Amino acid sequence: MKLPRVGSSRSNDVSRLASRVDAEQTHADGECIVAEGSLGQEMFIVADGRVRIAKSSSAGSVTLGYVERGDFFGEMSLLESVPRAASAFAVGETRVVVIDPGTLLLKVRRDPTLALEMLKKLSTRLRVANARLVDVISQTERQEPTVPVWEPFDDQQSSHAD
Amino acid sequence: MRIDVEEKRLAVVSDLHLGNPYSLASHKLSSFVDYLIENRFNLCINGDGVDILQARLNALTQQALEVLDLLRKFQAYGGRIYYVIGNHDITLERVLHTWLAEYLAPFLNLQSGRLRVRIEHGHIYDQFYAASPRVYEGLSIAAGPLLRIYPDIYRVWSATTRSRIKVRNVIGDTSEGYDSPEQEAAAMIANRGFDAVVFGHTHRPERVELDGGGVYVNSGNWLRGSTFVEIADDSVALRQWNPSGPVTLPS
Repeated sequence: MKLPRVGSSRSNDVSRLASRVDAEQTHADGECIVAEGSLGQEMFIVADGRVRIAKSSSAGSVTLGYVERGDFFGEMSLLESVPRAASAFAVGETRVVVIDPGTLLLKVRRDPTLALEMLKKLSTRLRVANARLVDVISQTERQEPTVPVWEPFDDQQSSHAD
Repeated sequence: MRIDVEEKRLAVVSDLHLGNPYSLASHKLSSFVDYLIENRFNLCINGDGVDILQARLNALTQQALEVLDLLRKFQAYGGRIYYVIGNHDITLERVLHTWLAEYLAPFLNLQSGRLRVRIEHGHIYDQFYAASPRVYEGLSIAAGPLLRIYPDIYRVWSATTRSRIKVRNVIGDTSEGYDSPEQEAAAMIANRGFDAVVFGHTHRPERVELDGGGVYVNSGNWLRGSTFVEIADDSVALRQWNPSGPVTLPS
């Protein structure tokens, strides 16, 4: 395989390099792809198969959800360099594309629709998380009506305090 | 913005270039729309449906009104229409935040039965367009009069690009082995979980099995041609529309 010339001004050299940096992994059914708490900065796109996301709790391992083909996981560690918030397990034989911080920009330059898909997915996840938070707050308030879980921000009080 | 859609039966056409005085699309679409209605297909116009760059007002008015009537009839029979933005109608991106966003998309991720299909115009993978969209746009406007001499000029451009890449492959300057940047881009997109990638833009209808799995299909054009992509029953076929009916084109 001939590598593109580094530093070349040819516009398509970058795209060639980007297309070559797509690393892949294949995992057997039940195999752990990433473990909760581990350090790692890669994001994964499910190219084939399915992935189960699980988090440990006092009651044991809890399944948070499934990542389907074409969807991604591990983006928090890639974007924020934080330990894995949950574990990911292959469901059936699963092939994933691995994207690390060093190749993300090249990947997006070559395949810009990936960035839009990521933004849309993150927006959806945030909306779902907000809805769940509201549910939890409502349940907590029903159980303990005399103790407010959160105080609404008061503009007037804030300005007086200043 | 809607990019994730689900359709059992979808026909994809592209590059109608309505408003371009040399577009034959409005003459041929009538019987095609009847075929779609009879066979319960929904429709995706995959970019360059309207030609803002090379339009003439009288052509745009006449052709667009004819086609809008056809599309209204199609919708009256329950057909759904998706419009993916291309480079000749890129100004439509400015209305993506309006009520038209229900119908307009930069690309579609289609679930059809067991298939996951990416539908995209594909101009952003054209190296010339990517290098300088403004120059590309300026040259497209300047090339308008050339259509008078040879209306299939887009296919000539596409063939020239392809020849340049073939020469590069022979010289050994590239190791990807694809015949075009569009095929290379399609392979990259397919690799992240798509069974098929459908582009337009090049005006060159083709169906290519990709090395890493998946298939790349180009829907060709309706400026002078009449090819389309039929997605149904877990298959993606490239077909040519004739007044007597569709014919499947070989890969």
